[in-house]
Amino acid sequence: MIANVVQSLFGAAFDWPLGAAISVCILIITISLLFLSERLERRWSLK
Amino acid sequence: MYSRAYKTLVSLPPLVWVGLFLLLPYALMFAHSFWAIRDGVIVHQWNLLNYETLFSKPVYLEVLLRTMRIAASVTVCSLLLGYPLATTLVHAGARKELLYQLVIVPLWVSYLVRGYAWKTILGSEGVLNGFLQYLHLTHEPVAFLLYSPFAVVLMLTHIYTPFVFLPITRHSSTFLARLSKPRTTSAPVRFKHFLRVILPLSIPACSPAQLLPSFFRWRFSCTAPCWGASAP
Repeated sequence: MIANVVQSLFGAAFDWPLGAAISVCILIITISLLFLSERLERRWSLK
Repeated sequence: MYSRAYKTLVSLPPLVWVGLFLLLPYALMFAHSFWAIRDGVIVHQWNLLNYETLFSKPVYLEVLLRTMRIAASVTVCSLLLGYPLATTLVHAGARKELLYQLVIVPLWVSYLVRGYAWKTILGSEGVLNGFLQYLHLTHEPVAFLLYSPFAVVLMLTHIYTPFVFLPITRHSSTFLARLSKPRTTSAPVRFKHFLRVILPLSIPACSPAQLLPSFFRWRFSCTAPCWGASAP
């Protein structure tokens, strides 16, 4: 799981910047999915 | 009506809380992603090296895609379990409350405990392997049951099905109870009724926005120690 990679980067690997970059990407994907799902839900509810 | 001062006073603590413990850490994380590390020390030099590393090394994208695949599998499995469960519960009549509690009560137990409970079932000396050997279906413990993507999907489905079940129940109970059933007992007619009436009405409840926790499933980190160590 990607969260384990982030955990190891922030922990044992001590590569906070790369861990943060992965976290930002995950956050962007999550927000995009939420935005998309809301749009889809709105479209379904209109029908 | 409440005064402006009262509204400000009431809304200030949560706003400060969100700003301090949510927005500020996000901002710090965002800033860190543009900094570099040199000789074990974080250097505050703005660059895109980390993003370059992330997209140039296939291992990160591979793990990301695998995680998303697992999350999608868990979402589908939870939906397949949660939807019929919710529909059954709405029509359960007097036993409705009892069934509802049966789904809710396991949430009192920490997900880690529930995860470790699965370990005793799926482990090499677990209940399932013992049962399979007792039936002479296998002669040695089956290895793929634990520490595999299968185990991760199974356990996350178990943990998250109530979170899928709850919004569907809440939404479905508003219309399913009032909806008249087809008078015939013919299976094709009932199936048609389900496809044409019930399913379209319940789609908003099954939409990803309602199944919010499923999106966060793919960020799940606690699976590795107990269930998916060999499947990072």
